[in-house]
Amino acid sequence: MFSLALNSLRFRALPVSLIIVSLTLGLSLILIVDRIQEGTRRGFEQTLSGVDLIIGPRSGDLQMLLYTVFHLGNATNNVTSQSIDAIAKNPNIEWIVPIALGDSHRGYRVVATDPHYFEYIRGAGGAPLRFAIGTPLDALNDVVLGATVARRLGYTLGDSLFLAHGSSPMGAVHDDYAFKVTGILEPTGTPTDQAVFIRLEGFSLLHLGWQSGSRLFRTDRILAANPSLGDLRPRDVTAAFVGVKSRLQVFQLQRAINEYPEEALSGVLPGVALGQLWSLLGTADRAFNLLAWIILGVAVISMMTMTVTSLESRHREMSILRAVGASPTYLGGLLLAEAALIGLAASICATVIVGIASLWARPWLETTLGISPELSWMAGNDWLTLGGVIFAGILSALIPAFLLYRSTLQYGLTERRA
Amino acid sequence: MILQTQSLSHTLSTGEILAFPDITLEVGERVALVGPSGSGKTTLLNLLTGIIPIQAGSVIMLNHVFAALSSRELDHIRATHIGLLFQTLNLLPYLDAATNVALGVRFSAARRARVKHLSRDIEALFQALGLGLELLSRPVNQLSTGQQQRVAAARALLGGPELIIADEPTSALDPVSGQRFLDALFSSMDRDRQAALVVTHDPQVAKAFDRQIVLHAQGEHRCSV
Repeated sequence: MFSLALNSLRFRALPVSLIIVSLTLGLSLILIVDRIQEGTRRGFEQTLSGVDLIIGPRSGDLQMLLYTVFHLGNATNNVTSQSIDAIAKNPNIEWIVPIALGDSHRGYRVVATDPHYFEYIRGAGGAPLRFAIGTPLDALNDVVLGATVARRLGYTLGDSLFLAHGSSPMGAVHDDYAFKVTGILEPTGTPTDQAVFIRLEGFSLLHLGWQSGSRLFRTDRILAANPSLGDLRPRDVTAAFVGVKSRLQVFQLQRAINEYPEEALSGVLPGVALGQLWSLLGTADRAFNLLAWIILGVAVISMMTMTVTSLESRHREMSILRAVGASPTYLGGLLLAEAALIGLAASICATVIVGIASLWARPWLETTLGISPELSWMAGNDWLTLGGVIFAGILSALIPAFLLYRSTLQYGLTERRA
Repeated sequence: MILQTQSLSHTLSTGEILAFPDITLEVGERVALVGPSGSGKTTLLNLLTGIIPIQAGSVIMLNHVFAALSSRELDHIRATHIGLLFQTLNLLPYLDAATNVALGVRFSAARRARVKHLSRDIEALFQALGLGLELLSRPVNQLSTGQQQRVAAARALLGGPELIIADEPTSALDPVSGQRFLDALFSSMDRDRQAALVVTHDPQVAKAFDRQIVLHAQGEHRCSV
């Protein structure tokens, strides 16, 4: 039956090719959307990979996630370093990296942290943070720039810059203390690319002379006292990222933090909070996906239209087969086999197109949008999608097959030449 | 007895009623069906092959009463016991000549079982019908009408069905090819003891048959031997 169907399809090469092209485009669109969606979701959920828990002041999970990870909005409160030190002694904790937020540089947020940040925090897909040039934070006035900051502002190693107080680009500038660029990170496709990193002690130094957003005395007076790094350790931080020894202990640790008696703290599981945030932000993504399915639906309907309209011209062919003994069931099966072959051909073409497109576009997507589409020929739910399309194609042939089944044999046996 | 009809008639969509003479065909018998255009020859063949349903009267083939059979059973009877050669040839244009011939036994296990070696049997039929073996692999839409007619004849003869029903099988053939076709048909019939009912307009062809059934346009029918 399949060889007969294949021969018949080859004989009608042009209309069949157009249907395959139409189906291939619809299917490719769905697979591409699916891969970008999956890559985006994975990239989104791994924005802060390597971190098992975020400790911050008592607040909502999403709010804490937004200001600590995405640098959106501001913290309503701080956490004392004393609490962070106490929690760090918990035997379940492998590492803890505090961060302090609040300042900015030409619109980019400053993240004050300790040098271990670059060791423990990972980018999308769990890749470690790598330095394009330079080294991690060491001296008090060292600054490490995210890839986007360095590119857009044109900074390179050795350049000096001043930080502004607060997150507003119009905020007062800490112009009494310059930082020197000592490192630039490779692109990660995460908010890290748009951050300016300094040491916590440097951040503390900048703010020793400030109160309620106003400068009381200049930083050089503090430096004149030749303080040690220990002297400059901040009393408060915005939050802390935590890695645990075993994932199994993370819920126990979260409960311990939420019930911490000395200070009102929250422990947020970044994976869970990112998932919640994605479910809120995923509407546009789902709409795009719906559009792709609508396009595929139109392609399947056009396939059905072609099959129905071609029935008239194929009546003779079907009547010949019935005349030599083929049953109506066989002929219906022949149409279904043709539909399955068309669906299969479109699936193979779409898989090849999407595989090549993923290979070609992946580097660009990774560096510009932080999306890492899967490189394999078949990814995620592709099998289900392709199987669904072949099944839909077969379903679309059911109506013409039924019409054919009901038609009379006599009709169509009138033309003279083959 | 291969075939028997009784009081067979058919009402066309125009309202015209075609009444047919009773026909009996014995094993090995060769009958020509002649008559002017519009006398219902093709309609009669369609009734005898189950292509159009019986409205009135009866058709019995090899003890099968057509009126009592389902469409599927009629398909099976046609595939197994009848070698059909249409006036319109009815070859599948996307298949080569050999595959078109093989369609004759594709849907009948009984007919397929009678074929000893498919490709050799097809080649033998091609040679008997005066077709070059180089045409076997050629798409049928690249063949002349005469060649197509002989390919259709080979399809009807393959597997030795009990009854050959042909609608003007020599209409597209020159006299020599027409005679060769009849020789091949009769040779196959003699070998396999097949009966044949053949529509023809050619009086010379009609004379080659055991007897003739003449259909008249006005519904009068005369049987002659």
